[in-house]
Amino acid sequence: MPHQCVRCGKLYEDGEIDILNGCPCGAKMFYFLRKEKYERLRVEAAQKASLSADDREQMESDVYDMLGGDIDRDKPVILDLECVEVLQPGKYNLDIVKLFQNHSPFIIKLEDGKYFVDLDENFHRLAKEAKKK
Amino acid sequence: MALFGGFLRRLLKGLFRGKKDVKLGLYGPPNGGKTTLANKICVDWLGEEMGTASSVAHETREIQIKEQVTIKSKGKELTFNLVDTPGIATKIDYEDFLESGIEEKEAKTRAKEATKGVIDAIKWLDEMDAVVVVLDSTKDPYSQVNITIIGNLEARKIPVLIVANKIDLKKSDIKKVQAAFPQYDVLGISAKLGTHVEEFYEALFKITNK
Repeated sequence: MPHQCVRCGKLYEDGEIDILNGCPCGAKMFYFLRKEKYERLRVEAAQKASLSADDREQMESDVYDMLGGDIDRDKPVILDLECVEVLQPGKYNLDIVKLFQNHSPFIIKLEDGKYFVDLDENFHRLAKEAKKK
Repeated sequence: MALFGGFLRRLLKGLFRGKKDVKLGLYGPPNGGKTTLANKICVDWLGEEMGTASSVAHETREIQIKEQVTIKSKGKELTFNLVDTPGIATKIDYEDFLESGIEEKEAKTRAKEATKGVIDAIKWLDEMDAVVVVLDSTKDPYSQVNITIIGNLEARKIPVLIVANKIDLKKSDIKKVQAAFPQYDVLGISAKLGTHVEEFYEALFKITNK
């Protein structure tokens, strides 16, 4: 079965010896992945690796456009949940189940380790919920 | 000035308390015919169209509202604010727009706007008093988008009418839509040709309890 390093996200094909020795990043914990998920992640990783600096800048700018309002661009926030994933400029995956969950924070994933969180929206939502109670 | 604005808002709110406008939302996947149906309603009762319908997916990328639409049926009258929403999708890819002859830069902007449109449509759901889910009856109804929308409406206890649109097309299969959502009223219509639109208006009275 294919694996993925829990710490750095590196992908391994079935039966790779590296898993026994641990990942070069030092981690020795791996996710087991189904073949289809492995293939999807492999294609996405290859696409992301080939993105140019301009593409990355464009993706970031697009996300700011989508969020709108006054956002402090110097404050990155990292969380382990995302509603929207930007694969490259103009390509988006939306997790509509999470988007429909009102209690979840609104998060856009730009790339591994880089997320946008709409705090204003979340505070507004929490205030609304508190009012109802 | 801001304080005065707030006071004025509260005063107006107080004066019109109890006269809450009914918000009727049109939801569904892209290209189901939401805007065609919104236009049909607006032309029939207001004499003007609401937005631009197109065969290219994600033509509606912003929430469109038509206020104070009054429809009449069998001596009854119903007034609502009609909310046409962008199509909800799990994946938006600018390359799909290229096939329709749209240039790459515009296609990427369109994809960005469509993504924002999905987020906005979902945010607006809690504001709705009743929702018409518009599905393309020529397509498989068992999709994640359809099931998620309808499941969430049920969880929020928002009254739902499912419209199986495009019954004028050969591939249309209303029975399949009915079989997918047996606990709901499913009405087959053609928003484009106006087929069964009278039954549709009648059904709106039912879901809004008027």
